[in-house]
Amino acid sequence: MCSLLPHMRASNVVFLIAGLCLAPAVAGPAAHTGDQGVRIELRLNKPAYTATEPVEIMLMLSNPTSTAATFQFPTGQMFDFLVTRQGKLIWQWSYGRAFTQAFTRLTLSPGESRVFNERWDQRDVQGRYVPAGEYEMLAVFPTDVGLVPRAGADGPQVRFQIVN
Amino acid sequence: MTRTLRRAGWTPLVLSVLLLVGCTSGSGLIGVPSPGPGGPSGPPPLPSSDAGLADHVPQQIVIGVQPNTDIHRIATSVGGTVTREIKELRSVTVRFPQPTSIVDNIRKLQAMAGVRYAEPNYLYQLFGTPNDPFFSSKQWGPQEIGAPSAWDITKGSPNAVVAVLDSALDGTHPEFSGKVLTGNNCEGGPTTAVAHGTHVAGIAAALGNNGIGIAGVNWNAGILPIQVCNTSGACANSDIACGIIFGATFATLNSVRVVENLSLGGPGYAQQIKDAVDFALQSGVLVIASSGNDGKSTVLFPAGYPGVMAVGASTPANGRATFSTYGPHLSVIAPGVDIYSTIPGASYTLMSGTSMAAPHVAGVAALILALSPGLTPTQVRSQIERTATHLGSSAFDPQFGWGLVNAAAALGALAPNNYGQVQITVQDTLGLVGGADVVLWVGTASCLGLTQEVQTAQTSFGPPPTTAPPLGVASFNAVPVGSYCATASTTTEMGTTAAPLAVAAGTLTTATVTISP
Repeated sequence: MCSLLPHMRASNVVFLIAGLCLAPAVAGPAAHTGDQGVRIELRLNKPAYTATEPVEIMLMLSNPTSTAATFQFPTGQMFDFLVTRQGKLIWQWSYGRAFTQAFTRLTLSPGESRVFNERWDQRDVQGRYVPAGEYEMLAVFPTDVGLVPRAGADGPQVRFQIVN
Repeated sequence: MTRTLRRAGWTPLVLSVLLLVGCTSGSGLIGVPSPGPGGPSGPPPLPSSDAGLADHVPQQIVIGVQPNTDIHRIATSVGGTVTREIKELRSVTVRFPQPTSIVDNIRKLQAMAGVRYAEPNYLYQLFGTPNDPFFSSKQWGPQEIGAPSAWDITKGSPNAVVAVLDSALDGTHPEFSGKVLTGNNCEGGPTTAVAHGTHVAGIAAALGNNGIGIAGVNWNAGILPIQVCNTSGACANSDIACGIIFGATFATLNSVRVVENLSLGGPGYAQQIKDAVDFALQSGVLVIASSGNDGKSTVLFPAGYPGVMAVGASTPANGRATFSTYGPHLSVIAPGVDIYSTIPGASYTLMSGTSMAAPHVAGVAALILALSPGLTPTQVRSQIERTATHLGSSAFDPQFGWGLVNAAAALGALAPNNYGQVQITVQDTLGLVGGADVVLWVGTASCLGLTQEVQTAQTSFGPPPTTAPPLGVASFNAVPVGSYCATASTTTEMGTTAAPLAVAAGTLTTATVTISP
């Protein structure tokens, strides 16, 4: 960046610095999909993690439309996160959890956002720390009755690394 | 809803003049039962004072006379004014202008010639209908399961507690006044009350006949709040296990009966929760869980553990709700569509799900225990299953389980227990084996060709906890009556029972499996 500055107009430098200042604190890989006009964004805090370092997960639902968006879930589960490696399921957030069995409604007013923060401790479904390598994280929005979140389902997906 | 009238506050009696056949004239013996055994029931003997009378309209007496008797003269002779005459019955209702002894006036009248009977103007109430304003206008669940008839037998007891393993509930809700016990927060997060746990608790045990809101299935049951879910409705397995153990320990420490309601579920089998359920059963606690909302024949847990009553959801038309999970593990169904119940802030709302169905059954189970506190969990379970209103098939149907829970029938004659217990001891050449996997199968001749797995357990390494089986023993606490074979295996050895075991109701069946390489 230092080599660029002498060649940039002052106004562009201001915008660049402002853009960097306003960059989200969670600066890892991100991806998004949509449902009913609502933006569903998955973001991790880092692109790469050391062994056993917690992976901070953020799922943000944003309604940029001018009408309210309502989602109905068959249980208290409003999302799921799946970690895969080369197509094989390594970890699933809902594993080891049960959910209240009443229909649940989530309504986002125009302009409203809702954020869910979760964490993966790098343990697989057997409780073992996973090895270094390339991984994928998929976020699933289970609004369909009977939907069992699984790898390959539609939803934002990001890649990240675990390094030694 | 069909309404049945009964005399308020009295044991059942034959009603009214229409049933008084062959009464003697003017004998004044109306109100005194005929001597001798096996005689027809009639009016009760007069108490010594008005305080002993059943609910009646104050300052009023009903008089019936023989033909050609001047009834108005008789009424006047005791200082009363006729307010109603039913000529066809030769009877009048008489009102006294001043407070007076009803009993004394009846005795005077009974001594007069021409008087067939004189009795208080008794007050009758609609059969078990509470005065909660939303009962008739918003609720349909208690009515559908026969709760009003059940309430005439018992309205529950503080010593038969419903434990609500759920999100935090609003213990300050007016519908829970005086009945919320000190529970536990196994989830460890904020104790912010949310709708789900509050709603579930109200279905099971909201105060009835308190002039506000709704009527729970069980009016007098204590509510034990055990927080195992967060405010979003996610519940970690270890928190659920903690909650089940807490409820069981509470029952033992406080010498009360506890029914645990778990309106939650997930696809994963967790040995820790299975062990917790077994601990609860051994502690005399019945565990009831929602079957799930995926609309399929799926086994979710904890509903799928053998010792747990899995409850599906019914519709107002007594069908299976389309979202209600079903299957051979289903116990019964109960109302679960548009159920009106309590939410935080002294308020109420409609919710749907098998979450709403399970607490109907939990409330009924606690009614049974209020009436018969000595029953074991499997006896209570059997009672509910055996007395359920059959839907679909005449007996068990995977869509409906044993049928729609029937609160009134469940409080009737005790049905045979449908379950027994099995203990399998596993040994090898070195002795008893802990940690062996034991499977109960549907029995076959000589235990060959086993294909239908029924239940699984592991042999114990020996207590603690004090309720754990001894070393080398696998315990199955709720095995339906029938014939079974058992296999046992470790990573290096295995074995099978040589012949089927017969499991009988309410009994313990034991067998030994010797395993070898």
